Amino acid sequence: MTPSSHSDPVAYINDARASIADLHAALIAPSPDRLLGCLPALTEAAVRLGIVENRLRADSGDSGEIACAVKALKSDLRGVAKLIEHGAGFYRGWARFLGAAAAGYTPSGEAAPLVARGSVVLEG
Amino acid sequence: MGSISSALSIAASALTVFGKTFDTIENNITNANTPGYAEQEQSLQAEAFDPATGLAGGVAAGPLISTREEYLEQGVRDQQQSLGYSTQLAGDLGQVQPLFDLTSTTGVANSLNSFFNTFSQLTVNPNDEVSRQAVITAADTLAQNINQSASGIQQVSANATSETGTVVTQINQLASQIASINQQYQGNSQSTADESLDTDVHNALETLSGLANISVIRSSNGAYNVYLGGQTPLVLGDTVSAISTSNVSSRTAILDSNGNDVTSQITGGQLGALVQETNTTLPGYVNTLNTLAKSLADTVNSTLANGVDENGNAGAALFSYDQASNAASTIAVTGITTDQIAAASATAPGGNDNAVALTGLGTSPEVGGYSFTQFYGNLGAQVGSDVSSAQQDQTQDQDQLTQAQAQRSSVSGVDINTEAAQVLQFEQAYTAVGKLVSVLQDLTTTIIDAVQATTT
Repeated sequence: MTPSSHSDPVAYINDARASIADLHAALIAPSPDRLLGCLPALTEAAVRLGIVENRLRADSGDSGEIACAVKALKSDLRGVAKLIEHGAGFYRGWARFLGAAAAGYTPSGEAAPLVARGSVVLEG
Repeated sequence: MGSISSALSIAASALTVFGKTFDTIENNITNANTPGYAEQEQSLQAEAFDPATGLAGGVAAGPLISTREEYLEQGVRDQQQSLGYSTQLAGDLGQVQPLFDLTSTTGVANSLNSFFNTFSQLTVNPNDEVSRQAVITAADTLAQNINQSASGIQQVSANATSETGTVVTQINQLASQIASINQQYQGNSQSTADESLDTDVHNALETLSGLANISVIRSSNGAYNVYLGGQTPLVLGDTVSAISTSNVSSRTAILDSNGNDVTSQITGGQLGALVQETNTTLPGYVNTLNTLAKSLADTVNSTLANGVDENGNAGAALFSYDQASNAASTIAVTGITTDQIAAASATAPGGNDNAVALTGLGTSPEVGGYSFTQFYGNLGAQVGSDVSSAQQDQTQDQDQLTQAQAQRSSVSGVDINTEAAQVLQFEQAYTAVGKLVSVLQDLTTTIIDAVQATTT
C-alpha cells in the first residue's frame, strides 16, 4: 500500500481497503512472512481509521461518501476475517495432527502438544 | 583386498540409489501440473555395516514415500463441497432474479400499479366504456405477468430436478470408479504405493466432494470408504451402494441403495444446493406468489361483489383461479364484460363509490399487513438478497478453496520438525493479523455509528 499523502477521510478508508486487499492476497497463498509483512500497513490503517472516527465526531464532512467507503471496507474485512478463521483453523488441526504423529496422545486422549525443536547448523 | 571390491560394490549400490532418487525427482517434475498428483520422495536405508562379519555397509533404496496427507486432502474436499453448493445456488437463483425485477416496465410490480391506476381513472368517469375496458385489459396483463413469474420459477425448479438426476448419476459413476480402485488395493497390497492409482482416487474424491457432502475413511487395506452425509455408505471397499432420486408431489428425495430417504443428510455440494432449491427456496417463492395472487383475486372480487354494475346487478368477479392448484399459475380474467364492472355502490347506482373503494385497495394493507405492491416488493427483495448472499458465498468459497489448495501444497508432511516450526510460525502470524483485523472491524463499526449520528 502507498499511503495517502493527504488527510481526506475517504482516502484514508481507501488506503485501509488497499491494505486489506494485500492481506487478502497473502491469505490466499499464505506464508508466515507474507502474513507478518502485512502488519505494518494494517497498523497504519487502524491509526488512520481512528483519525477518521475522531474527525467524524468533530465535523460531519461528506458523511454520505464516507458511509459508502466504510461499508465497502466492512465487506472486505468480513471476507478476510473468514479467510483468517479458515486458515487458522486449518493450522490448529494440522498442529494437532503433527503433535499426535510426533508424540502420540496425552492420557486424556488429546493430541500431544506440538513442539518445534530448535536446530543449529554450522558451516565452514 | 576385500575392501576394494566392497568399496566398488558400495559405490555401485549408491549410484543405483541416487539413480532412483533422480528418477523420482524427474517423475515429480513431469507430474508437477497433473491434477491430484502428490510428490513422492525416495527414502534411503542404511545397509548393515560390520567389518568384523564382512558387512560392508552402504545405502539401499527404501520404499517411495508419498507426501500426501489425508488431513490436507480433507481440507480441500471440504471447500470443494462448499463451493459446489454456493456455485449451484448462485447460478440457479440468478435465473429467478430477472423474474422479480422491480424496476422493469413489464413485470408484476409495474402491472400492479397500472391495474389500480385504471380504477382511479374509472372514478373520474365510471360509465365510460374505454375506462371500463382499460380495467379489464390491465387485469389481464397483471394476471399474465403473475402467471409468467410462477411459470418462470417452476421452469427453474424443473431444470433443477432434471439436474439432480444428472448429478446423482455422476455421483454413482465416481463411486464405481473409487470402488474399482479399492478392488485393486485389496487385491494387491503393492498397489497402494501406485502413484497413478493414488492420483486417480484423489481426483475422483475431490470431484465427488463438489457434488455432495461426503466423508472419507481409509481402511487398513488401503481402500477408501466413502459415506454420503457422513452416514450413508456410498463406497465400502469394492462395493458401491448407488443412490437414486425420486420426485413425489414436487419434492425431490434422495434415496440410498435400500430405498431409504436420506435427503436430510445431503447438505453440501451441488446436490445439497439442488435439494435446497427444489424443496425449500423455490417453493417458498411460489407460495408467496400464490398468496399474492389469491389475496389479490379474492379482495378485488369481493369488493366488486359489494357494488353494482351498469345494469344495477351485483358486481361480477374480475379474476378467477384454480382453488386446487397454484393460484399464481392459474389466475386469469373471467369472461366479464365492460358493463358488468361494478363501479357504483348499491346505494348510489351509476356513481363511482365502488371504483373509489377499488382504487383504495392499491395502497391499503390487504396481504400480510402490506399493500399488494409492498408485498410483491418484499418478495423481490427476498429473491435479490438470496441471490446476493449466494454470490458472496461463492466468491468467499472460491477464495477458501484456493487457500486450502495452497495450504496443501505448502506442507510436505515428511519432516515433522520442519513442519512443526512452520505451523507455530503460521499460528503466530494468524493470531497477529486476526487481532488487527478485529481492531479494524471494531473501528469500522464505530465509524458507521458516527456516520449515522451525523446524518440523524
